Amino acid sequence: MENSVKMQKAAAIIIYIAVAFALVVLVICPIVSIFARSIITDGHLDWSNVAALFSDSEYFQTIGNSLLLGLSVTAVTTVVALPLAYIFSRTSFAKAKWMDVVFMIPFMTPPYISAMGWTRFLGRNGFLQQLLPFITNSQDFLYSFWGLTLIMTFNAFPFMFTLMKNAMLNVPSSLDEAGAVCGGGFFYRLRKIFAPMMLGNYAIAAILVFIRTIGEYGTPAVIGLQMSPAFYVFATSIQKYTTVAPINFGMSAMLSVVLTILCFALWLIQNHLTEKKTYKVVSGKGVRVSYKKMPLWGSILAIAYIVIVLLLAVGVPYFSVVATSLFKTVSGGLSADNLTFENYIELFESGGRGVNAILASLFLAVTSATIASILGTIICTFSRRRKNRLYKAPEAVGMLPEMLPAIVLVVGIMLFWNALYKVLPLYNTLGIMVVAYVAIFLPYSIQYVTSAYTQFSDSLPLAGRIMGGSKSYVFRRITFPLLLKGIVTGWMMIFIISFRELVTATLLSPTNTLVVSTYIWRQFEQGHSQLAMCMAVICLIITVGALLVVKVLTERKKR
Amino acid sequence: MKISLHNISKSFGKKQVIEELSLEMEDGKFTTLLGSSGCGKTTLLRMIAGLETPDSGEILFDDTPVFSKEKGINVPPEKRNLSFVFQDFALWPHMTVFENVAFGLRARKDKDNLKERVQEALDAVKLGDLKDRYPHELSGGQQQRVSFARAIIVKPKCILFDEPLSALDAQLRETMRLEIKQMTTKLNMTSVFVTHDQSEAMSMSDLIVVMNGGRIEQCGTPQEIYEHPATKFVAQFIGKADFLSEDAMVRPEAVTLSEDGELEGTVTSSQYIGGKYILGVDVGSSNWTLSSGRDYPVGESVRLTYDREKTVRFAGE
Repeated sequence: MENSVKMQKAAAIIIYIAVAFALVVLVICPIVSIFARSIITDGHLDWSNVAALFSDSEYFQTIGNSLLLGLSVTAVTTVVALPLAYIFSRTSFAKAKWMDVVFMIPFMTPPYISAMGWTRFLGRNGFLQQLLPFITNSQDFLYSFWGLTLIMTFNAFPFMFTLMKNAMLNVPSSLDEAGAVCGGGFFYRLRKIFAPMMLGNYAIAAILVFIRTIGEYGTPAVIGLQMSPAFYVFATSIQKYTTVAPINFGMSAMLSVVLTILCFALWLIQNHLTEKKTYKVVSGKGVRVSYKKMPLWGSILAIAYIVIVLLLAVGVPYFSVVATSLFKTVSGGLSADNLTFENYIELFESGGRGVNAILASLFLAVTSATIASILGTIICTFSRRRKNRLYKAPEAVGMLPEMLPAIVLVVGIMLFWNALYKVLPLYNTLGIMVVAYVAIFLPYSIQYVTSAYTQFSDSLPLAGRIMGGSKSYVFRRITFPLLLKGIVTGWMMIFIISFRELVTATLLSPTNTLVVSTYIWRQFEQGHSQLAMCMAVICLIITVGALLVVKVLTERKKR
Repeated sequence: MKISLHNISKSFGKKQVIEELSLEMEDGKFTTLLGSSGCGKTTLLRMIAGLETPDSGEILFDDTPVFSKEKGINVPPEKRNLSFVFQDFALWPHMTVFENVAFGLRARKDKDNLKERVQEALDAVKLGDLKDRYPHELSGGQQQRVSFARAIIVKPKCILFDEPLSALDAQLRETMRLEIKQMTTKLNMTSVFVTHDQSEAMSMSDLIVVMNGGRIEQCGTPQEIYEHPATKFVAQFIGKADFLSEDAMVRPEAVTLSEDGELEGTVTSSQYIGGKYILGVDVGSSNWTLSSGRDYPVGESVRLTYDREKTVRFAGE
């Protein structure tokens, strides 16, 4: 008896050390590498990058562009998302739960794919100009600051929409009704009760959108780099300094550091707001929300608004992508005799490059989703079981990548494994991509498993122990089955996003290896937009399909 | 203020919640709507406040219609000038106690001596010192007092209570009963109180309206309801009933154990409730409840008698 307890303890310590080591390699070393590389050149302390940051207008411009874009996207997102959130939480539209899935689609669409769709729509001789020949300069809008803003907005708004919708759903109707019986009219109540209660949640959502925007790579790469002069933001600048001659690792590290500090500062503010400025109004009895009956004109207005938003967020990009993938020639335009499935056949034939890209992506997605899920489950189990700080630490470290834009961690991984090349030549293999994906997407697994853990009470496994089950038996028969749906959902999410991940692949994929995203990128860049869009369609089908599976899984969980 | 309901009906989807209901609530009186959950009592209260719209009928405040399907009148809640105390208190979490209470005055742009009046209302509910706190810093009972202060500060002619005590623990509930009753009597307000707790209804009301399935079963003073229940439902819902037959019963107080009693029964349960025992006795046709000064072992045979004059007969269903 005593022996087996000792064995279990020893096993736990070994697992803990293994997890800690993995996290140090995956997360901490890359972040340290960035900071180190930004102020160390060839083993010497070197402040020239810091100086350059403030003296060279090119860097300054990058930072300024990013912040400006962040602000404008956040502002426009607010305008788009808030009315939607209100409609879908406080009016009878809230009953249409299936709309949640529809709004997940723009959220899950890879930004670079919808940006490419937009260029096919608004670009020179794009669909808009074919449909309405009198419009000749839509490309000027497309390749402008506001064009970029708009496209990014329609990728980002589901974030704010979902957060605000849930916050609004959590406000019991009685708070509004109390305002009414106290003599407050509709707008007075909106101003004095509803808006102030939502302010904290709004600030949190806005910061999230801002952070996402300033760290994003896909859309700024598709749109911003075609603007004249090219509109560089953090991610595209970092990518340029890392991969395009003259390579400047020091500067790319420096920009990553600036981005990291910015994001951390914003996360701190967000945390503070979450604690101080959001209100827990849900009492034990749950929230009763009665939906406002809208007058007819209100309903018509709301439906029109929803249709326009979905048209811009889903309709335009999806139509453009699918239509382009079916064209014989891009110049042939929209006509029945220009349609063909040839492109799909070519995609699967042409020397196997397309097929290889899909296989490579599948391999990466499955491998990294599996490793990240196992790691995430172990990490959560440690932090859940023990109150000790030491056991909570892995969760905190594992969540760090969530706070950083992917490109920052990718640069860090690149620098770290470059330095380690002589010991372990992982760089320039698929292996380093697995390492990067696991590091970047580990937070997804941790979040889903944590939420699975919170859905059952601690006393369930304890009851198993009291009934005579050993620790490992209880984990196998009680805890693990209860966690399984969370683990699987997390796995699916990681699978989806790593399948089409762009920035990591751009920076880290080995020479001559293409994955789905880089294949799309290469073909699009080289003017084979039909092939690019065929691959994009396949990518979207897999993404949306997997998403539906996730949705079904999580819905059933609510039984 | 007198409140009159005429032929009010309401359904949610296909479910009819209130059926052709008419009722008068007298000026300055404390009326309780009593019934189990789903009987329509809360819906009725919310319709008086204007928080729900009836499908048909008419609601009058002192003979002035605030709702009338026929005449197309529907005064919104903010114009009905009454107060409502919510089950979940409905305190605004982003406002201090002071601001919560002051809301009604500010919303009505009635800002003279605002500070003094808020203080006065808070003093009345014994919360004068806590005006700078936020709702989450208060206990449940204190939150309830704030919501009561918020209701009385506008000096409404009528105040509506939606199960205001159900979220409080038992001891606090008793204290709050007394306080609410005293305050509404002192301010001479017409009160409508919704509850599913019969002892609450008994102890506070001038008039009890027993509801069942969207209809009124009986309307009367607590004594009338207890001593002369009009239907079997009322007899069972209020207090304990010992049934003589399908349509006749006596209250346990009218039943006594006596060695030469004409009824014979077997003790099925005995509970000590302090000072006396509550016995369950199987008398063949039904199981009776009665009180006794001493304990009887379960299974013992006893003889009983009852006061014929206290027999209540009600119309069959």
